[in-house]
Amino acid sequence: MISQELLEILACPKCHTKVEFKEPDQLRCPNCKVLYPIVDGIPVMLIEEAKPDQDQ
Amino acid sequence: MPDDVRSRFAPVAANYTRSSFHASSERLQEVLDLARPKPGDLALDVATGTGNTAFALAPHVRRVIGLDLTPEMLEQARRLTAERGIKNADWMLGDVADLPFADDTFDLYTVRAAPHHFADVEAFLNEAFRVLKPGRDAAFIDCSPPAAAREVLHEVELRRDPSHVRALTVDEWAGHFERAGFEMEGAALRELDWDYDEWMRNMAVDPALAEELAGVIEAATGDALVQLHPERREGRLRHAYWHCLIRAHKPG
Repeated sequence: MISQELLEILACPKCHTKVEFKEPDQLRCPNCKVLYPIVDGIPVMLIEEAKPDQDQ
Repeated sequence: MPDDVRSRFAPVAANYTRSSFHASSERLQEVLDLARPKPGDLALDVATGTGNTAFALAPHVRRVIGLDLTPEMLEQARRLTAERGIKNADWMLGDVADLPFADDTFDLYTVRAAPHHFADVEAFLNEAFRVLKPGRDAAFIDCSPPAAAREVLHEVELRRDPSHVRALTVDEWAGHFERAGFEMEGAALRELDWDYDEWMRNMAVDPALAEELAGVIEAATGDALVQLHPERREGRLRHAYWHCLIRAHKPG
């Protein structure tokens, strides 16, 4: 789990749109339609580690 | 390039939590004096490594975010956060050249002893500028030897740690900062009495290579020798090393 304050400032490193928390452990960019993983509580905010959001 | 940095720092992460440079109270006070954190600040410390600078800032700011490329370094930071009961520090994996924040997010931006690893200095400073709120400041510390000594140390740095890219002089940094849009508030050069052996140990350098590279420093001539003034104290090599301390302002 990541803190609410961190979630409020985290943005996509590619387009700088705010990311949304997606259960159980991902952060979704609504603009790029990609997911950034949270690994052991640490968001992995690297463009090359983003995965396409299959729900889109 | 990021993979190169990761592969160098992952195996030595724990060394950085107790290094006499990276974690010394004197050096951390230097960061605070330069950064002048305020209680309401949201601060970003990039290339935070095991979080030494972020931990120094934490008691003085509302919240500090530590960002680094190497998961093993951040694991150490997270372990220390729990051990010390710190509630206002968060960690994330990220790249200084593609920061995961909107424009005008932070009250304070810090970076220490890392920019000499950055392949794209322009992208690093443009991103620093972008995420800082207008009217706020960045505090910046990096190795910055004078030109003659740099030529000697460059070879040593590269063979000690192939993720080293290049150390810049204060004047070179000032030019980069201004091109990124910053106003220079202050730039100082500090000469340090460097513990060569510990420097090599932080990166787990093979002893034979460490001895060879010590020879490179001791073989310096001319201006480089005067600047580095290497000497053996009780068999341990000491020499000069330099850091530049820059405070830069985002107009607004």
